[in-house]
Amino acid sequence: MYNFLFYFLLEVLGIGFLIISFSVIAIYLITMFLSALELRDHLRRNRFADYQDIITSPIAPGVSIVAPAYNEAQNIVQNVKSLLSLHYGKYEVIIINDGSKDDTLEKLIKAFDLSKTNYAYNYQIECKPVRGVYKSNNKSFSKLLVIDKENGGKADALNSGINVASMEIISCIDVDCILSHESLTRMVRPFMEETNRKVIAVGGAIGIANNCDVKDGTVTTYRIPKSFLGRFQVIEYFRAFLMGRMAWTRVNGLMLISGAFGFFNRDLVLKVGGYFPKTVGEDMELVVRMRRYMEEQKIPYKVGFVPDPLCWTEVPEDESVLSRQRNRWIRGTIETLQLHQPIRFNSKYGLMGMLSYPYWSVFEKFAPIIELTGVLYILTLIIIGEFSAFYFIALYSMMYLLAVLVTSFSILYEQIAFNNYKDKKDLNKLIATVLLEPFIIHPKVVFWGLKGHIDFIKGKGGWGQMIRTGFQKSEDRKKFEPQTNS
Amino acid sequence: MRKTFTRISLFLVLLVCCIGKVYSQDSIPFSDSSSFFKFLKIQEEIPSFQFRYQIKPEAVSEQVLFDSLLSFSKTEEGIWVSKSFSTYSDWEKAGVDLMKENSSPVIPNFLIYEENSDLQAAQEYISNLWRNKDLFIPETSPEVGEELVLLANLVPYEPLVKYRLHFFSDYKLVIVVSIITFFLVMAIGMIIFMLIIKANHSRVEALKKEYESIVIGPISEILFEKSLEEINELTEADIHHLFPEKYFKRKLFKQVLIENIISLNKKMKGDFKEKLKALFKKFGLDKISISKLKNKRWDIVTNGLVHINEMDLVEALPKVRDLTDSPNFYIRSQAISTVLNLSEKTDLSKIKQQSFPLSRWQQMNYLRIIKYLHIQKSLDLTPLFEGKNQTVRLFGYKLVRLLGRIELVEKLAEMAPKVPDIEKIEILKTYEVIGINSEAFFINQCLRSDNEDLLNVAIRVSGTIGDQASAHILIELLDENPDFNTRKLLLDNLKKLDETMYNEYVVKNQDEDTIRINTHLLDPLLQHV
Repeated sequence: MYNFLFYFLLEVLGIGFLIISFSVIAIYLITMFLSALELRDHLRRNRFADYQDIITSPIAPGVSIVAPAYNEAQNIVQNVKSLLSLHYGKYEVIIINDGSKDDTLEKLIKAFDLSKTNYAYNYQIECKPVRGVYKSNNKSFSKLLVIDKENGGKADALNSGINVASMEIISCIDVDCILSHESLTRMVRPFMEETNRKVIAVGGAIGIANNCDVKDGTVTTYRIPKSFLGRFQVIEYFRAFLMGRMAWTRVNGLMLISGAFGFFNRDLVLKVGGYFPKTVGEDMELVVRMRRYMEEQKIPYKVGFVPDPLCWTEVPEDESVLSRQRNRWIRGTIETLQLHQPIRFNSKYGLMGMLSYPYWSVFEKFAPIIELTGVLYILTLIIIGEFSAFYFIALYSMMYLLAVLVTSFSILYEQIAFNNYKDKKDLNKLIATVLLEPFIIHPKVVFWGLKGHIDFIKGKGGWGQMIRTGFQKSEDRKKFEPQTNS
Repeated sequence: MRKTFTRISLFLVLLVCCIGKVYSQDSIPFSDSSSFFKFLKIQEEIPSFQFRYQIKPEAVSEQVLFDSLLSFSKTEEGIWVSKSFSTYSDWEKAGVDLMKENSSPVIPNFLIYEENSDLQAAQEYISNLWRNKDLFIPETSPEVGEELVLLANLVPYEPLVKYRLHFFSDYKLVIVVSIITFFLVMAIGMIIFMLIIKANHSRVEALKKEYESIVIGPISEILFEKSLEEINELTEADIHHLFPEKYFKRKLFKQVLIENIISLNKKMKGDFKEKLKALFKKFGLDKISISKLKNKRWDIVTNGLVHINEMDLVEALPKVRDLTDSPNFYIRSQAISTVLNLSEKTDLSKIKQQSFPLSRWQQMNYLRIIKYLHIQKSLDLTPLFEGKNQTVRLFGYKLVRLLGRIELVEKLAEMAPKVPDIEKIEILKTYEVIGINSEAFFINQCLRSDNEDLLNVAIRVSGTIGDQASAHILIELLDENPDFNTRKLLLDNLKKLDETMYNEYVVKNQDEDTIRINTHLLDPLLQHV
């Protein structure tokens, strides 16, 4: 009987893996197709856009750039100067010193002639106590506002900045990101174009600045990173931004906007209670909650995405740093999906409930577990002598070819749309990375993902129970116990 | 995987077969001595079982005892028995003569494990063997004339379809290979498609560069060396002299020509603009631009509209007007911009008639054009106030303040009390920007509104253009203990409106929030925060 069950289980697993493999193929082919259409339309639309108008138009919305800084003393002054020189009429820059242990605040005070004000701070969204709000005595820096607060993490710092943001659109960014001068005009456009739906958020593509030349806050010469890990992240970012997010945008199913560069409707962010600081995936969680709110209120909405290269960041080229980042990402995904379980296969939440959420559950959250199960399955087949080399080689080759095909296409998209990496040597190196990635980096990414699962189960971060409870409604986030209100 | 599947199937089949067998062996295949011997005959040989004959005591005779084939001997029990046979056939053959007789002198006797046994003991032993499944009825080969099905079983299996491959018998293999093939075909197809696009892209880029180098020189020469009249008098031969005919016939060449002329038109002023427009028509490029309006692709139509707008192709206006209510956002935006630009009078009727909501992007574009035109041409904004589309009316109110059209305030004042709250907000903003002090009554009405958005705007506007009654309402609202942000807004505007009343209020109300807001409002660094 046990023998029968064992073989039966093997058979079921075999069929399951076949279905998953072919689903992956189908999804990637559809993704490639949809992203190509969206990219084509985006480029066509760009031909008729005069971005100069937005800079001075009284009809353009104002933007509050909110950037948390923790121990950023080394580059903070340069970064803030870069933010203050963006080409846009109506905007403010809010820097939050999130309890830095170095002299970040002192450097800001000195460089921008800041003084502590009597700002009547309102904890509209709960956050750690604010020690002071600073403004510059120099009118040239009138756009700048600095908040000094106790350390509470990125989400908490963003919430403290959102509380003082006065503009219609909030741009949440990483302070060490390099923004193109055109970044605001281009990111604001989707908010202005839509007529029948409310644009609740717009995400932007992130470029990798490692080994690139930067002049006046803009990347002038693109070069691929020197390390294999860096190059891997270049192609990974192409895949994510030019393919994945473009395809999801096409069907209005985007659930993730990068925390390093995202634009949100301020009123809606306040309505849903801002970022949820008890998760490490605060960027994804906010977008899902905003979408839930709109679905629950039955208001037509859209989450946009701009693939133009407007924001660059340095990526980790050290394996231990990268592993921690990936661990955080997978935990963030698990936590977000856990928090919003009521939307799973719930037609009330439209495409998000029926497609985006299930996709993220199977192909993002459980991907490392499925891959591990696959390896164990093959090992079992080898041990019991049931291993079919033909099937294994056929399926493995197919998945490998798929990975190569998808990544090559994302590089091709970049070449056709933006053509930033002009050096042929760079392109050759990228192609070599594409061919080697599935063997060298992918197993590691799976391993880091599994560690993320284990850490989530262990309750790393300390909010496991609360996250498992989840939100029954999008506005439930406000019900969570305030941390401080002074 | 295939093996596993087969094993499971075989196991299931065997299981079903065995169940049948077990059921049949519960009943003994013989019921009497006659059927027992038939059974023994079929079995021929039985383990630990031997056959012999026993002479009846009354039949013992020399003739029988000396039968060399049977070799009778006396046992310890005193009975005469023949030698033992292990096979039924030998035993039957040896005793056939004796058994034929009517009163046979011998009876069957058996040895079970070398022990003397009678018929009953033998039957019990065989029954036990049968129940323990140690015995089966051996299959006999059917002979011709038996049932057809049994005969068919004798024919070795051959597949019905000749040359059938083993491949097709494994359905999972077929599925895997089909999908892999589909994937490869799709992948190769997509790669080829993308490579074609990329190659085409590169080829067009190279050609454009080549054509640009051909185009720039002659155009500059004409612009700087020829007058407008001379340009108008250019003949076809002159044009072919400038640009070789083989190039001039090419679509891409004309596209490059269009792009270059339009690009120069954007950068240049005065006479040069006129010359470029004349050249555009002389080269027949206007026909290309106008023909684009009929294209099915929205981007080509929009491109044509951009050309018409840039090169002032007034003759295309009727066709452009038809596109002002296109379902495509870009086409209708560009069409309205073009109509606004090219009409003799600034024609806002097309905006008024819009059935689609006006986006902020469109409003921004129209505002740019209208701002430029209203200095040169007469501009009547009132039709916009009557638009059926609310976004059009809102745009009209915005235009009043953005163009500083004070004379229209009276009209707005007439409409203001009757319009929805969202429009009241826009009208209030217009009053604030223009600085209309005469509408305090309306502002005070809005200060009593339950609509939070309208109330907030009214509070803000009252600080600039409110009256004494507004100040009293602000204090009343403060006494209703509003949330922190509204309190801050109320105090800020009360301070702007009537500093004395503000100070009195702050002195009277020493709650924590009011004190904090007061210090905030008095901080010089926070005057515009």
